[in-house]
Amino acid sequence: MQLKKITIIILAIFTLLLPMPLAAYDLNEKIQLHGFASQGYLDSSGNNFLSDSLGGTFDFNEIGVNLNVRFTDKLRFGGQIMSRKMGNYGDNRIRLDWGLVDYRFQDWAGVRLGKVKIPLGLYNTERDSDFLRPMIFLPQSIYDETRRDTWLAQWGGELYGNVALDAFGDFDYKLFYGRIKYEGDSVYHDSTLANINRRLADNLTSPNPDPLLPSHINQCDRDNDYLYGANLIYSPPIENLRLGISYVSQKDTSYADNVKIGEYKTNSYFVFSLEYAWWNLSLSAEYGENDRTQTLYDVTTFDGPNQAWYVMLTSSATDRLGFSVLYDEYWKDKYNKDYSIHASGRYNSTPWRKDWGFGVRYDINENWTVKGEWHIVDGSALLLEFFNPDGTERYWQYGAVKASFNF
Amino acid sequence: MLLLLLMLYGAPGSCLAAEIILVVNHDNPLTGITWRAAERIFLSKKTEWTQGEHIHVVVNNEPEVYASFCRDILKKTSLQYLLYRKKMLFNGSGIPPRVMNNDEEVKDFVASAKDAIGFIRQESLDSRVKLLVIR
Repeated sequence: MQLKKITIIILAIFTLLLPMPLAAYDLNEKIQLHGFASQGYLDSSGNNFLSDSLGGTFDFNEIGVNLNVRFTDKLRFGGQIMSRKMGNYGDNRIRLDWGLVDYRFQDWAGVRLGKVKIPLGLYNTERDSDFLRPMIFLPQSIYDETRRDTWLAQWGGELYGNVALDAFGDFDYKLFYGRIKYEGDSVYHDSTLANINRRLADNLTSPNPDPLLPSHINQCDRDNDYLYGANLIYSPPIENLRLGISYVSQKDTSYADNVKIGEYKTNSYFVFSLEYAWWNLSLSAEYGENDRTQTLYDVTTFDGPNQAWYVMLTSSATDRLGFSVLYDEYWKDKYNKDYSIHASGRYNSTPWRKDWGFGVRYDINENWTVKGEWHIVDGSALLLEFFNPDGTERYWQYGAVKASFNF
Repeated sequence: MLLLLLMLYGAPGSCLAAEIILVVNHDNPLTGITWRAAERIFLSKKTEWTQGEHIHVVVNNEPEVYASFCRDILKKTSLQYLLYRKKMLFNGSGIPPRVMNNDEEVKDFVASAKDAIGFIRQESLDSRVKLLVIR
C-alpha cells in the first residue's frame, strides 16, 4: 500500500515537473506518450454526494498516462493506465483504463480489440479526462458517477468507421460486444452489499419473514455475462451539428457469499444526443431511457425504464474563459413518478433529481485548466443511502473546484 | 443577467483574420478538394487519399494561423479543435495529427512527405509546396 502511494506521488511529480517538449513525447507519429493529472475539492450541503462530502473533501483526483504506438498506417497499439480517488474509493490504485489493438482497414471499417471504452452518448468515452469537458461533473442523469464502473469500458471489441454521404454529411458508427470486469472496491459494490443486508434485516423484522433467506451476507460479487450495443453519430451538412443515438444491453449475475442470488439485466438502454456549436456558443442535449430488470432472492425488485435528459449551454467568453449552464433531470421510474421506491420508511427518497448547474472553466494554456461549478438540486434519486444512512434531504446543493494538467 | 452577458461576450468579429490555404506535396495529383473533404481530413475521419495512400496531416500551431484555420475551415473555435484532438488521444480512438510551430515547418514537412497536407498563410506559399484549392 505504501509502495503504491509512493509510486503515484513520484509519477505525479514526474508528470508535473517534466518540461513540455519532453513530456509530450512524439516520435514521427510512431510513438506518443501523454498524460494528465487533476486535483479537485468537492463540497455539498444537505446530503453526501459520492463521498462524505458534507464539510468538503480533497479526496478527488485522477492521474493517467497513455502510450500509443503506430506500427503501420493502419495498425496501432494503445493503452492508458490511471488511478483515481473519490472519497474513500479508488484509493489511487493503478488500473488499466483502456488498452487495445486498432486496425483500420478503410475509413469506413476498422476494428479495435482489447479493453475498449463504451460509446454511450456523447461523452462516456472521455469521462476519465476532466479537461476534455466543460464542467467537472457530466450530467448525472445520463452519466451517473455511482455506476461509473458499470459503463466505462468493456473487454471485447468494436467495429467502427466513418461513412461519407457526400452532400448529406457523414456518420460515425461503432458496434461493440464484450464483457465488463467489475472492480471489487467500487462504491457501487459496497452500496449494493449494504442494500442487500438492509433487505435481509427488513425480512427478519417483517410480519412473515422468509425463513430461507440468510440474516446477513459478508460479501457480494457480480459477474457480467455480456454487453453489446451500438453508437451512431450523424454529422449532417450543417456546420457543427451532431446527432447521435446509442444503444446498450447487458446482463449481470449477482452472488452473495459465492451463492447466486439474482440478476441485473439492462434490457435496453438508449440515448439520443444532440450537439450544436455556433461561434462561441455550444449546446448539448441528450435524452435516455434505461429499461432494466433486477431480481434478488427470486423477487423482482425493479422492472421498468428510468427517464433522463439534460440541456447544457456553454459559452466561450474568450479563447480561454467559458461559462456553462446545465439543467439535468432524472426519474427513476418513467411510468410512476409519484411514489417513493424505498417504502421501508428508513430512506426518504424522492424518485427524481432535478439539477441546475452553473460552471466556469478557464484554460490557462494548452496544458492547464481550472474549473469551478455549483449545483442546486431538487430530489434525492441517484444518491446512495450508503453515504446517507440517516436519510436524505430533498433540497440540497453541491459544488466543486478542480485543476487539471495534461500533456 | 450577468451570466447571460458573460456568455454572449466574445463576439465572432473579434477573431483574427489571416487568409489560410491548404498545401500538399508536388507529387500529389490532386489540385482541389471539397470543403467537406478538407474538414473530414483534419478531423481524422478521412485518412486516405482517393488514390489510396495514407494522409499525413500536420496542424500549424502558430496562433493567428491556427485560429483562422479553425474558424474558416473547421468552423470551430481554437479550443474546440484542440479538445477534439485531445479526445482522440485520451479515449483511445486514435493518434491526432502532428503539430508544427509555423508556416516554414509545415512547408518543410509537406515538401518532404509525399502524402502530407497542411495549412499556411496564403502569402507564405512558395515553390516548395503545392496549393490545394478548396472547391
